[in-house]
Amino acid sequence: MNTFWIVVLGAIYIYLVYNTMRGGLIATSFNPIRSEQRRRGCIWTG
Amino acid sequence: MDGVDFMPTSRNVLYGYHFKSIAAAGPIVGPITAANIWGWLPSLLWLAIGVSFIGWVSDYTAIMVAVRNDGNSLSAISHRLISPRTRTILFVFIFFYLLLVAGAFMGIMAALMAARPDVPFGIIMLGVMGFLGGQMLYRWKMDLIVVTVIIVGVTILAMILGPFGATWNAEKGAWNWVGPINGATVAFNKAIDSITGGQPVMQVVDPTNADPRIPAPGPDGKRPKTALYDPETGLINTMPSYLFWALFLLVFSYLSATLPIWRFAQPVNYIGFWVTFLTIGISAIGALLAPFIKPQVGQFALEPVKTLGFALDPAKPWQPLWPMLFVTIACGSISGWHALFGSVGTARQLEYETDGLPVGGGAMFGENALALLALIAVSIPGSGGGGGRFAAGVGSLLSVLFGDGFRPFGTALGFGVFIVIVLTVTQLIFRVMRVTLSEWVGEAFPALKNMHVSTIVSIVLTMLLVLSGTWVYLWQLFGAANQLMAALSLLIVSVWLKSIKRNPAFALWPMLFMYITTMAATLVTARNLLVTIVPKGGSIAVGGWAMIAIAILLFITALLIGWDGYQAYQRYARGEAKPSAAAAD
Repeated sequence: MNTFWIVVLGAIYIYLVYNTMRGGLIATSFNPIRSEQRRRGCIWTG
Repeated sequence: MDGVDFMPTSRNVLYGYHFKSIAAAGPIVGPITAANIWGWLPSLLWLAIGVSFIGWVSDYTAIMVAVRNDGNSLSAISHRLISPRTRTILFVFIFFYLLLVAGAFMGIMAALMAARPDVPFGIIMLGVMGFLGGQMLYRWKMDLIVVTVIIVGVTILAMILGPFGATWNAEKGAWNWVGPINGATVAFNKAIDSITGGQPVMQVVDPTNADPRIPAPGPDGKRPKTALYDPETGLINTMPSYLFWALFLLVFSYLSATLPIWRFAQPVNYIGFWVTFLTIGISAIGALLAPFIKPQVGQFALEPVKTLGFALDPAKPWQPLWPMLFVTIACGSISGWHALFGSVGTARQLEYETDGLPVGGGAMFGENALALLALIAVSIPGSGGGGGRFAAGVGSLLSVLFGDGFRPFGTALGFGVFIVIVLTVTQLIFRVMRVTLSEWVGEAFPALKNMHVSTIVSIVLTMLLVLSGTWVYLWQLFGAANQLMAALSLLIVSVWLKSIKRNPAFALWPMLFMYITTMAATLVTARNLLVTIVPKGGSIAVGGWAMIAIAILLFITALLIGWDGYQAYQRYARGEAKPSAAAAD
């Protein structure tokens, strides 16, 4: 193993998981509060 | 919205704020310590799996549960959802947990400041630039870009200039600190040490050799004798200069905890973000190019798997992969501090609900990247542990880009960045600690409602813990308490999801894994203290017993919270209960 592969694999992994989390399988299947989120203005002023 | 705590903030700014509020020594020291014990592969797997299935869920849901509960803290939410007594028990848990974190962080920073004369100047300039930054931004209303260039540029320059003029003594394998800045720091340390005639104030032993004052082994495998360490007896000297630098850091934290946040803590954190971000970025470029430009730096030297550690020797510390890996690497995979700070700090500044994911989850992945850099630093050729190993790794990776002549400056930058990373979080820890103390016992002892009194009490207790000298156990106990805090946060989230009739699985399963693992790790750590520290007798044993007592206290409080949480969960599952009215925060 060398540092090149750790950086490359780490970057790809973080990119894939983060994108999955935002809009893909993990987010829609497992996150029960995501579907209720609306861009409803500043949440502290309503 | 009150413009003080509740202040809608752009998600880009909030990402940086949350990232620098959560990333401290954990993502650096954890992977380095773990890779030295078990090898780099188990550490890498836990970092990847932990952040993907547990870490981001914890950060994100802690923010969201606060957002959906009028910005209340986890304690207030537990009062409403679980029971009033859970709130009180959670206060006890959080205070002692924060005490452990502050002790673990203070101990490692003070030791580095005392042992490395090229480091303190950069940290002093960080404080000066913090004050100046607050003044320029909020009083003089100067342009953000101009202020950023000045305060970040001067801080980085001060960090790099620390080792300027020092010469390498190949015979001794050590630096001659004869430069203008490092030489002056050495003279200053000597002047302070002369108060006791150069004699140590006290001596401590670290049987695991993890204390930053213990030098790395030389080519012959033996550790050299230094002014602070005697390899024959294993005694580490606590000099007056160590106490001075510990005091300096505590004053720094006191200012952060008590001054208005814009005046000091926030600009210091802002500088910290840029310094950390630039160092991670440039080091990552160095790591990317190293195998092609400088293969001796780019090739891993550490074994993938050293041991699984399950064999038990009755007289030695026991480090089985499960549960100890999962508390040794805390932040970077999952951390309770994130949940604690996310719920009372970041959540109150969220502008839109949809920002919760990029801010909470995104910053968690940012911290994971820092942990990966630390894993690279420990895996490439070099020696030592903790912050020293991180700094040496940064020095090596920067030498790939800027040549071997830059290595000492890169290493000094690595040390400086390490302390910046830790200090910027420690200052926030004291802020949360004083609030917790005054909320917890402020009714019984009204003096503790005064922020100066509660901060000073927190600082004195932290100093006592630091002086106990058994730093590595403090670290593992901190890791266990930190992960337990994460489990308790996920427990509150699970109960909340059940109470609003949502599927709690994505928080419930990680919670069960973390709860069982960290409860086991707390017991293993207490056992390690009992067989390795207590038999040494004297003041060392007293420190050992104190930490065993804290471990037992944490275990019992977590057990009670777990039981209360389970009962509340069952009540919501049966549809028998509804959340009670909101408690005061």
